[in-house]
Amino acid sequence: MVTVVVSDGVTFTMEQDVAFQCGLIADFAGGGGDQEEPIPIQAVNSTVMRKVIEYCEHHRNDPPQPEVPEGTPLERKDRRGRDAWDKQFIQVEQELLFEIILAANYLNIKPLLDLGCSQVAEMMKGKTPAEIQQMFNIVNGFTADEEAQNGEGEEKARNLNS
Amino acid sequence: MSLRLLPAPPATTAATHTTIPASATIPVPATIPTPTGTHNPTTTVAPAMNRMPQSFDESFDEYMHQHWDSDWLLRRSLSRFPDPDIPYPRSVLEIRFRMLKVELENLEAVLAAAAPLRPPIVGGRIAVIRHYLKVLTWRLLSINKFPSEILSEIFRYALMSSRGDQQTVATRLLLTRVCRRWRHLAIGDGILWSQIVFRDPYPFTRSLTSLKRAGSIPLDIGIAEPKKPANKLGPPPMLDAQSFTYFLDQVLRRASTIRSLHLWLESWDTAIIALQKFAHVDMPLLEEFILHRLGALYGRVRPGEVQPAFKNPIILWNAPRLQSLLINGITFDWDHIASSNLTRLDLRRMTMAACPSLLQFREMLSGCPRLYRLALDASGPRWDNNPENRNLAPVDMRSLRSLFIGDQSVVYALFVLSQFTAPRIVFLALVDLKGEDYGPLIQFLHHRFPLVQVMDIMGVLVVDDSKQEKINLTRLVGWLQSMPDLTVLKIKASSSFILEAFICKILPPINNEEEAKLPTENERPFEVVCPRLKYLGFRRQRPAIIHRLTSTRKELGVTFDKVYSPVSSRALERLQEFLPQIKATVNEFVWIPDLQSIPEEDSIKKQVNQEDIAFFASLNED
Repeated sequence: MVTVVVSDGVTFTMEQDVAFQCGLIADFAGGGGDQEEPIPIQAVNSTVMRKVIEYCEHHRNDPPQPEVPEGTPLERKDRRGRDAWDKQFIQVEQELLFEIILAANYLNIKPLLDLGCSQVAEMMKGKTPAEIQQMFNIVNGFTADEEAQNGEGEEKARNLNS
Repeated sequence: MSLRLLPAPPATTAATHTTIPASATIPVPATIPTPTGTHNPTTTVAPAMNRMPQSFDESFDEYMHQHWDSDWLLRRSLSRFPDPDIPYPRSVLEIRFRMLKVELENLEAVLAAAAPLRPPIVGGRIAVIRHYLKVLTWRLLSINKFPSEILSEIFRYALMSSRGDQQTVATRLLLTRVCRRWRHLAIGDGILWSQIVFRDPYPFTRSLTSLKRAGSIPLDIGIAEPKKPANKLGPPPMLDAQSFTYFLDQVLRRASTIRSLHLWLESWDTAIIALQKFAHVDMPLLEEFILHRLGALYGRVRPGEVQPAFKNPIILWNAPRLQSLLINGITFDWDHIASSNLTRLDLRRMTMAACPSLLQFREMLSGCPRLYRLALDASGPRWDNNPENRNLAPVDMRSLRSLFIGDQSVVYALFVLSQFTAPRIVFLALVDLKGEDYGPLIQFLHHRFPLVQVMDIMGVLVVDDSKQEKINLTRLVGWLQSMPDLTVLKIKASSSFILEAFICKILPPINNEEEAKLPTENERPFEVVCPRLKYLGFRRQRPAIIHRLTSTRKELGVTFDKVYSPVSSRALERLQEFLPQIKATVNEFVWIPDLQSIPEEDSIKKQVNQEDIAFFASLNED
């Protein structure tokens, strides 16, 4: 068994095959037997950790994903497919979604990171740059020249789609 | 101050819901936007979300209850906020967010106390608050707090979910236009630019910019030559000889990083240029090469025509990693094909003279120990009358799982099939096989492919030979019986007679005196042809015959789980009379866009992939 303590002081105990899906915990534990001391996970709170554990428990029997070399074409990446459970799991409020992504990145759980990122990408679908700026609260920071270039780009895109 | 809540419900039924006290709401955005009238026509809207309540029965509360989470409503509400460039006190939003959370909790408590009653006004207000909370959540979070590696990953997913090259280009443009940081990240990530389809006008500025941004990342390149307008009065095709030469020169400079190359060429000019250019290029990373030379058949020279390219086949001198090769309407240097890594070989539309010789073909097959798919559409080995080559032992192709034989005479198909054995084939397609006597071919197929699970038959016109003592029916049944795992059948524009074979009862020989005493055949035990056949896809087959097939299979105790038909007005018209009967005799009838791949094939493909992993592992151990 592996025990972790998260940022708001809550401790979680889980079986090794669940815990070791988190690269960070696996590294921390050194791949060895039961840990006596709880592993501190300071960047994740208990709400998010519960979701992370739920995900890891569901996928505990999945085969390990092979390393994907840099430069592999997007469509050939052997990423864990999104099944119905995954789709349901990631239907959470935006705040929690962002926290899950950050936690997956911190804890080094690649499939969960992929799932979260693909969900955000899905939200961007069909939206204009202005809508994305509004939606994700983004200050564009372009200079006047760059804005002008963007305008030309937009025209090209319109021509392309016409 | 009061807030007007939109969409406005019909005044007579829900006037009390149109205004609420300001203390219970937030001032920004001031209104929930109207789903009609002010709608921006450039945005994509899910149809169900973009409408007013439709009747008195659908009140505002019900509308909000259903649509508070809609993408459309979110976008409209966000558009009412000041531009993110304009500073807005975050603390104000945070306070409002907390206030709304408290109100939501209170209202949910009210709702719980009132159960089982569900006052619409409370439900509607809860939906409104949920919507505002969602809007505020977006405003309080900023995606740019993510580290760059996460943003890049999101960008890659955004590109991956783009369909077609136009949408891909639009997504790239989008990513470079949202903000400086996104632009910088997107331009610096070569993988976002490495799939390039040259569709922009000469001199391909946009595509060549992508080529540059891809850096050293392996490239997937496509180019499609547009067809000449039918009336020859329209603008000239994009690819004249000059522009195509320029294109190939630019692209082949990066030949060492090209991973896949897809070409669709219309004219001879471009084809000849391609042949000349490829004759001098090394492509060490090339895994996939696809060349469709469309238009008139290659090598079929009419009087007065010259096809100089015919003597100069495509040569891929150095492509040691080539896995997938598709050649359509042009020929290849069969002596210089690096076939050892090939997993897919697809040869289409070749005149006999352009085809490999029988010995070249067999050498190619035996040189592909991992070949997974072989497709021969109006092509194959050159017909060989040499008696020495007539009795060669068939090439053993144990890794072959998918075979397509198309647009051939039945005699030629028999000649091709006799060149190899492939006992592990799971996907078998027989398409447009022409001839008068199918008998020898069907006989030959007995026990050749015992593991077939998915069979695709199109344009196969086996004739009813009732006057010849049903020899063909007996042969057909024998062939089908030799494929006991057949699960999916797709049949298109083929003889109804083939379907008759699936409803035959097979009576085994009489085993004992008891059976001999049974008065009628119906009381004797029987076998069903292809008992695992559960999924049927059909197109351009007589509806009456489909009904006969489904109802008889049901009577025999092997009801189809799903029957698929491509949806079209013509299919609807054709099926109109028999559709209720067909539906009554199957577990489910499904309309799908086409029969290219029905859902059950995917799970079979996955299973085959798993089997192959184990199969190749065992080969390696040996």
